[in-house]
Amino acid sequence: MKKILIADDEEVLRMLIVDTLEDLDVDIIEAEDGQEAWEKVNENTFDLIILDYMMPRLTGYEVLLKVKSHEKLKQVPVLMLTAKSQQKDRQQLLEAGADYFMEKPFRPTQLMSFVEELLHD
Amino acid sequence: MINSLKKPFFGLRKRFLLPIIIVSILLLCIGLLLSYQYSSVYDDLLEQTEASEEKEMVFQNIENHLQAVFFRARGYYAFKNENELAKLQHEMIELERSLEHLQQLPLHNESAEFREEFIQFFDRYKNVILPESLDFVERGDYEGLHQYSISGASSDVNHFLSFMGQYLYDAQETREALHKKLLETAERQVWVLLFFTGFVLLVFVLTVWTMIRYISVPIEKLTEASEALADGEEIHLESVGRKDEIGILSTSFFNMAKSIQDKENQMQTQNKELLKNQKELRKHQEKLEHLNEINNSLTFTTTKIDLLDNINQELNRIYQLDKSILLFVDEPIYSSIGVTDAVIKRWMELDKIKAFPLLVEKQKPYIIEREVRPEEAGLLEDGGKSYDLYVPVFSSEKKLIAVLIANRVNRSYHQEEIDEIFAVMKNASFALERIVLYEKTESERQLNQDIIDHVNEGIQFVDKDGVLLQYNEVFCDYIKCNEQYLYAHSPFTSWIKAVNNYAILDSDYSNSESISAFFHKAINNNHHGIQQIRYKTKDDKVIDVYASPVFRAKERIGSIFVHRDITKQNEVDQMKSNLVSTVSHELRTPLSSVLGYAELLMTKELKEERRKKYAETIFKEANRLTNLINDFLDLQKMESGKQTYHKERVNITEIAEEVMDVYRVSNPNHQLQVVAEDAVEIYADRDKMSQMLMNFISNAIKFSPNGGTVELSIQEQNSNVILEIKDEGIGIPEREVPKLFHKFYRVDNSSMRLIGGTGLGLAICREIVGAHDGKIEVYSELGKGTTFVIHLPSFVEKGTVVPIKNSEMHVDKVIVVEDDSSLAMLLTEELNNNQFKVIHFFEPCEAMKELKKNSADAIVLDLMFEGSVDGWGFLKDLKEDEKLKYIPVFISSALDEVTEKSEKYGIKDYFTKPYPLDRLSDVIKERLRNQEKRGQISIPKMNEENQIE
Repeated sequence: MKKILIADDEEVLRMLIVDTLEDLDVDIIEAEDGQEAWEKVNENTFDLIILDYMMPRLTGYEVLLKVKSHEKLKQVPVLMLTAKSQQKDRQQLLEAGADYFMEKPFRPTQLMSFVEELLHD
Repeated sequence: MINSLKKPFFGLRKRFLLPIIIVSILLLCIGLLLSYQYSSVYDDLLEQTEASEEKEMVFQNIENHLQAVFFRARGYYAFKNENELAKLQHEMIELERSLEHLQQLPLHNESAEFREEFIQFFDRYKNVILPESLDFVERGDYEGLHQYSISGASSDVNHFLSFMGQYLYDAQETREALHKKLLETAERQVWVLLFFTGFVLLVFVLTVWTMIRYISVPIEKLTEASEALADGEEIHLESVGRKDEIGILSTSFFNMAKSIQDKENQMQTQNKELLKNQKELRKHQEKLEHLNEINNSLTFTTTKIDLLDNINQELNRIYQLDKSILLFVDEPIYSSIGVTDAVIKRWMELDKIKAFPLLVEKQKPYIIEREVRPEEAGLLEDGGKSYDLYVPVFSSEKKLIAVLIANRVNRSYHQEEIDEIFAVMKNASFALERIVLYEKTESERQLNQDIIDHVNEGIQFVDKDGVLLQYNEVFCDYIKCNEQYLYAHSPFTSWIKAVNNYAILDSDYSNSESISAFFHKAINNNHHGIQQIRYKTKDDKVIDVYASPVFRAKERIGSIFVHRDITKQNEVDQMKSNLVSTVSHELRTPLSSVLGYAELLMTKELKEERRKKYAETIFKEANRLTNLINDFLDLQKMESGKQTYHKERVNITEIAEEVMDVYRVSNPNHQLQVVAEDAVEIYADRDKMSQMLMNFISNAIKFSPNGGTVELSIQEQNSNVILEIKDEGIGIPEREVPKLFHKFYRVDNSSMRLIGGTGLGLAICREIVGAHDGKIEVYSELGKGTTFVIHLPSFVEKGTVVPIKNSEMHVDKVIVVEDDSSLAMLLTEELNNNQFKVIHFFEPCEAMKELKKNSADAIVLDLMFEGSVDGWGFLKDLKEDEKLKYIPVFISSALDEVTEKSEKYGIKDYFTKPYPLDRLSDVIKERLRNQEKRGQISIPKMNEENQIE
């Protein structure tokens, strides 16, 4: 079973993502902030990491940097969920090594089909 | 001289030395004579005495020997002692020897007789008596002997003996007489000697006295005279009338003294003359010095007034003027010495060109001679003449530019003096023209510098080679010229170093690799066009630099760099961009939930329970979105000052209870308490107080997720109401406290992630408290809870002390019609500062539309407009409107007032630009206060300060 990490400080949004992906045969692990996400990334092997950008303690961006600069973890695809939609922010994320990003508000169906496709390969 | 010296010498010798020698010789002779005489008398006497003594001695010897002969003879007679006989023989021989001595002595008659007798006696004694006597003895015939002696031998002997005695006695007496005579002679000699000595003494005294009289006294007099001469005292020249050395000496001394005195007098005269010459020389030198001063001043002085002062002072000194004034003909600049203020004032008010027709006509100095006025006369008894000298200063175009008026009392001016002064004035004219030129240049330079110094941007101008030619204060301020010792004409390398020391390139906004590269490129850029970089200074200023080449007549002369401080602008940009991104984030999060759940509802088949849960979530998130938008708008309104507060007397305890009641129901885990008196009143907006307390209470509940007591206490203290909201929650880290009231700030703490909220609550609270003249304090301890303390002013019964917000007051509305935007801005700002509400229109028509809709309290009107309606047209319309005709109008125009028009429209306040801005607001205030909007206006007086240009 594929493993997905979802990190968002908003419980409602985590729930939304979990419910969106519930039909896919995946194991979902939640993290409430960036620090927790980083810890869980190290404890498990994930097939996908979904990170919110703005989180307490460690931001999604910081977690992304850590993952992408880690020898073993950098292979793991990272999907950034961000409310920041400016060109500059996007550029920054791409440079940091984000594989995908999705703008808030995102469409659950889109997210589902994206994840499905990604994990299917 | 030598002869005359010789002669007196002999004269004096003749007079004194010869008599002294003669007298001395005389005395010596007398002395010698006397001593000779006395010594011969004395020798005689001495000889006599000696002869007498010798004779006496010889007689004595004879007597002694005779006695001894008789004695020995008798001794032999008696004892027949042979020894006695030998001695008798010896004595006999001695006696014979003495007799021989006696025979040699020269003897007087009597003595010579006696000597003969004695010799006969002795011969008989020796040859007769003694041998017979001895025969008697040898025969022992004593009787015969006795007979014999009786017969006569003895009597002869005795006779001689007595004779001898007698003779000795006589001789002694003779000797004593001689001795007495000797003594007498000696005594007489002593007396003669005494007398002689006295005489010598007398002669000596006489000589000395004469010498003193004839030599010492005149010498003393001469000494005194010479001392007096040496002391420079007057000596009385008198001849002593003597012809000896002293006479000649004194005569020649007095001649000499006289000649010395004569020479001295002569020398004094010469000296006086020399002094006089020297004085004149010095005077001349002083004059030269003063003229030199003038020349210096003419060459180096850079202001007119200094020049006038210097020339005037020096002329005054050289020519000893009593009064003088040096004044400009067409400027109120002058320099005066000794002139009264009244006179100066009169001169200043005169038309000077007309005042000096003679100077203009003749172009030469002239003198006016007049009677001395009493105030000029000073100590003069009977007045005299006063001479006013007028000297012109002409420009190179022969135009009269300045005049010197100099006055001397009782001393006219020599032609020479006039020529000199005129010459100085001619030189002054060149100097004045030079100064005018200098002042013009300097003032233009200063103007340029002032202009660039008062520009908000830093400006530097460099030449083609990069040498820094000019810069302003702002530029200096950015790169700290003073600390870096940067001055004008610094070469490129040194000023670029200074710039680099203080500036760090902001590469995000710059196309250049480095600051140096940018400047270097700009300096060498020969094309028109502007380049730009941005740098940050060490004191965190953000500065944009524009470079532009500067051309003069198509030739490149350098480059200008403009450094603009965009720190504020940059901050605002940054804040704006942050705000946008934050707001966007804050809005997108609930929006994501709403959209996401809605889509799930639409696309998925869900159980009823799920659907309900999704719908609730959507409702909640949509609510959150609404709250967020409301809070955000509220805060915007409050921050921009547009929030109106409806303040009234409210019971804060009551409001607190109401708020608590709302939360009590939904938070059963918390003990919500209000500790307060029943009625604590404040002057406040009820709704805002309620909103504020809700924010605090909800925060307190949110940040104490494990329940506990939330206490709201209210108390009054020294005209303050203090609200305290205390919870037992998680607390706030100390370093986070200052950021608490920032917008969208949420404490970065993992234990708070569950806590929702817009992040605007405390920011809103701060605004509300601020609007009520209160303040908020925060006390917090991590893990133990937080206390917010709010201070608000108590309600004051009469309400006078309570500060009232502007929004509560009636504000006079002023319409400004002005087509120049910057001027309009100035006017608006000025009027705003004076509590007017200002509405500005560029066009009179627009203003009229507004006026017809909402009237105004006053109108500030420009007259010149480009459109169809100008200021006067607008006024015409205004006065025709019944409602608007009484609104006072204040004209603000660059045109001069046309009185008829002003009167026609009842305009009394006409401000000709430039005018002092504060005067405008003062006049408007005064009008509105006093005139009950009657539209009558008076022309204000001009004020020099604070003018708009």
